[in-house]
Amino acid sequence: MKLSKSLILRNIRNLFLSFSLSVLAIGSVHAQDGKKLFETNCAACHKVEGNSTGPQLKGAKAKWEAEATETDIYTWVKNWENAVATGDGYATAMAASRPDKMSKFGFLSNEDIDAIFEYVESDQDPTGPKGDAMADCYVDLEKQKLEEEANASTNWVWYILAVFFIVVIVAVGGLRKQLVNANRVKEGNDVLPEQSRGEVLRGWAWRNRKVVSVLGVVSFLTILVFIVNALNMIGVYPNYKPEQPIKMFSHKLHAGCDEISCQYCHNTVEKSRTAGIPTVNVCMNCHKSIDGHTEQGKKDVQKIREHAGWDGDQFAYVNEGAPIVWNKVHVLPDHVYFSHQQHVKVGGIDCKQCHGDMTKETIARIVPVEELNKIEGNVKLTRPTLTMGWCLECHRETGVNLDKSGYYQEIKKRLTTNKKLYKRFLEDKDHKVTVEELGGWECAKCHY
Amino acid sequence: MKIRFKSILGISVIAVVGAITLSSCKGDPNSPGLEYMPDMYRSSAIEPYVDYGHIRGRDNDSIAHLQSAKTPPYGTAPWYGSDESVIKVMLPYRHAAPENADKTHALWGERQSALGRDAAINDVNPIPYSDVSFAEGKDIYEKFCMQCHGAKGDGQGKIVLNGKISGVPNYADKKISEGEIFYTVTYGKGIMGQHRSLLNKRERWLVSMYVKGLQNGGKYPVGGEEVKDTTVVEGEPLEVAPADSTMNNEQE
Repeated sequence: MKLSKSLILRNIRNLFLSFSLSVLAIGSVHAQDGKKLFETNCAACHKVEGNSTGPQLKGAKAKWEAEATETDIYTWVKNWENAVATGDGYATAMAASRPDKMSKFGFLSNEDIDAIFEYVESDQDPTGPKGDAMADCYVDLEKQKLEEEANASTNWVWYILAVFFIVVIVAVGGLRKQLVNANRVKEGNDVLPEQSRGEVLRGWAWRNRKVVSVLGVVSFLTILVFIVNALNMIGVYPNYKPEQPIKMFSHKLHAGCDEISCQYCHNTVEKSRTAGIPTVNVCMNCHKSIDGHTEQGKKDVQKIREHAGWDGDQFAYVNEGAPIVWNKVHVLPDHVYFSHQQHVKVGGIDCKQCHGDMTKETIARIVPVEELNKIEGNVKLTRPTLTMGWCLECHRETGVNLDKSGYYQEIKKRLTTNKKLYKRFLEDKDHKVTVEELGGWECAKCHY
Repeated sequence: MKIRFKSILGISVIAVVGAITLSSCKGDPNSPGLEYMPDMYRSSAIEPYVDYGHIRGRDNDSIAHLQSAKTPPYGTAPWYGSDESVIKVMLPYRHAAPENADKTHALWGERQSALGRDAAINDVNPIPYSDVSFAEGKDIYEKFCMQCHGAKGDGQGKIVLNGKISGVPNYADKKISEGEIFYTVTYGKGIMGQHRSLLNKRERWLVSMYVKGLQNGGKYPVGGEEVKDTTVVEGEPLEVAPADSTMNNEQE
């Protein structure tokens, strides 16, 4: 009796399980269809959660059913103009809520639309950063601050130690003198006459004159070297990384993780002397819909939107915009003429040669020459970045690709037809025509 | 004894002050360092992206707001030489922006028309197909489009794969004409922004050619059906931006 009872129970449980499983399976198949339909038809303008070109879709159907009286949401999706034509208040309000007009989806059946909304209401959000792969891409301000503090504290340890040792030396010196005096008193001698600090120092120096003279010469030379080095650093800005109005801007995130090409933002690099700082509308090409990930990032994106005159609630540009004033990092003196177009378009120089690997940097920085030399494919140089020595060195090392641009056609013709010239320039020790040999060391090439 | 203690204290005070002074010599990323003869660095001529009226919190009103990134005066047109084929490509675009383009794509003061897109559909690419042009279009595509639209035009660019933008269409599903591609690149559509500030007309036509190729599996359909060329029609007014920002809704 007992046995059969438990058997029945188990059967009932199995039945129930299989039933619920099958229901789940049906549901998921339906949601799958809805997902595909959503992605091909709706996702260009609507997000599941959050505003986009069109309003958020989650909860949209329920809201429609609660508010609209004259028409249903199917009519709207298939042809929104028909829905407005019924005179329904909610449909009219929806049509006026966005500056963009919705596309017409007459080819969708009521079942399709149901499937879409079923998918939308289920808890899957297709947008949003994908897990750990993106974790390294964001700048963690708190982590950065902690690291800086850790660096600062290690410095402080040395200063405190130095102070401590100085105090110990002075104290021991004073103590020694007192002990000597005490000893003399004990032995019945007079106390040593009180000397000024200068007399003590001079006496000590005279007694150790050999060591002191050697030390003096060495320290004089050291100070001289320091002074010369310091003078050499005037007008040289390695690691200059000024704070920018968009605090969290990260080249690593944009050019590294999202693989946006350098030219998308610095788009005049092949057309102009300057590489170009993107105007706000270039930022808005993505940040119209990308809100930012971290807390500071969201604030920064909001700042960009304010500069663009964008109102997120109306999803429209409503205010007058204003350009973002970025701080210029790579500054050449007024008497130097440098052209990005010449170097990038005609010369075919990679950005990395002068700017380093920006896919690992946050905001712009003048990368020191030691770091530039570590990058594969770069011409190895010794002088500090952005100095004249650095330019000249590169002009001496770099061979010109005579086929790359029509600019060198005539030179190539003469070099290849004249045996003497060919021997002089192409059969010399480096076997290439360097920029220097083409007049790249002429003063007037850069100073005019 | 008392005097000794005082001197020790004095020396340690000096040492501490010295240590603090030394520690402040650490490299400050916000400071460019020493400058020799600033007037050789600060240009008296107008320099791009530099406004010498504001330097590190100090204002100099007499030279402020001289920044060079300004809108050209109304009516100015760039000079593209005397080559007719170049001029034909670079002539101002004559189709009006979509309705509400000022609100959706910040195209302020732009002529708007609901018929703009339809009118652009039959435009013919003024640049004839050649392998060189196609490769040039590819180069532009990879710099300006690929991050969203994907290397094969399947809408699976890196930004989409990173889950930041969704709903980028697959070109193979959207076979639109080169004229319409050009119109979309110029004025944007939906979430896609306008790209005429990044690419000039020649570059936009080249990239339209390459996108047409991507719709066709990466190969440009040479010798397709004949379409009516509406790119330049004699006697019709060309698009010129209105002087003020009032809307100029004249129809095509």
